Amino acid sequence: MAFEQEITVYSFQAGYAEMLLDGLNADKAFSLICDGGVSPAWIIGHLGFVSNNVASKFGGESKIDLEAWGPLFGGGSTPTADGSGYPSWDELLSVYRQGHEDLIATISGIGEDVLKSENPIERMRPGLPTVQDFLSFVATGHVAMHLGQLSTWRRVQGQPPLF
Amino acid sequence: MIRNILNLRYAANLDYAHRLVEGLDDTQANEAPVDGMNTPRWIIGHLAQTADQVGLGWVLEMERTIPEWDAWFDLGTLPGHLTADQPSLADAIDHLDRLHAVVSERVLASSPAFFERSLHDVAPERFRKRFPTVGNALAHIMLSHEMQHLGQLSAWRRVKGLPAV
Repeated sequence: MAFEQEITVYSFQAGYAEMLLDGLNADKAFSLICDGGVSPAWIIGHLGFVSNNVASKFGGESKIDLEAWGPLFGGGSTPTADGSGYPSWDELLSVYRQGHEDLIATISGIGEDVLKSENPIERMRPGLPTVQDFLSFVATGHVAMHLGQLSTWRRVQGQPPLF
Repeated sequence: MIRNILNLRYAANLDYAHRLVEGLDDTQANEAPVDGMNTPRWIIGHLAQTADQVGLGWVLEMERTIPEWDAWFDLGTLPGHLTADQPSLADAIDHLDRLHAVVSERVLASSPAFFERSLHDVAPERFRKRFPTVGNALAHIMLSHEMQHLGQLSAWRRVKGLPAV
């Protein structure tokens, strides 16, 4: 199976994310960590968007309208505290959680020839030159970085450390 | 293949860590804009301590170099408890550089079979259950754990009103 190490880490991170999300409801989910910062809704929406986008690019199928979600949650999009322009918190959570299964199914089935090919996302090629480099990062460091932001958001809200 | 990915991303993490703390003074390094937030000094110290404890000690079966740092930077320690005579942010980033070099050298010199080995008993049982092989554990500490804390540091910069890097 491709990405065995990364999938182990990805699954661990999914459990950690659920701890961070425990008790977080729609009333707070759209609040920004600070002006210009991220919100839980943006983080979870972004991770769900990326999972579906990756699935669509590498042989799977997106479960969301990527054209609609891209401006809200794509890289470089600007989070806002007004939840009215976003999918509901429940929908964001559902897409995010479903995205885990889809991403694992997608990356675990990719063949060696594709893994060695050039990263299709041109702006990321300098740091992640191949498909393998890119997907490894998506399943590990990318998720981790955003969960770190979510962890800090919790602290700003006055919640105690989880560990 | 995993060796190359580990090394590529681990080096990128270190570069990102340097950019996140570049130019921070001692006051900023110890500042928690909100009570309970991790500070830059604690975060970088924790990453160095983890590279030593988990990387060298639990995973790579090497002799540890800074075990005394466990008292200040291990899981469960608090940034607010650090005192002036304990490692500074500059000390922490120097040790992180050094430990990255040690871990990377060992990883690049290892055979593919090494990554399939079970973790030895020095690693606590709860860690071995989550990351049963050397490869799983290295992927965690080299690809994920560091980026999680660097994500915290990135958010710390935003809360402080500093530009994104």
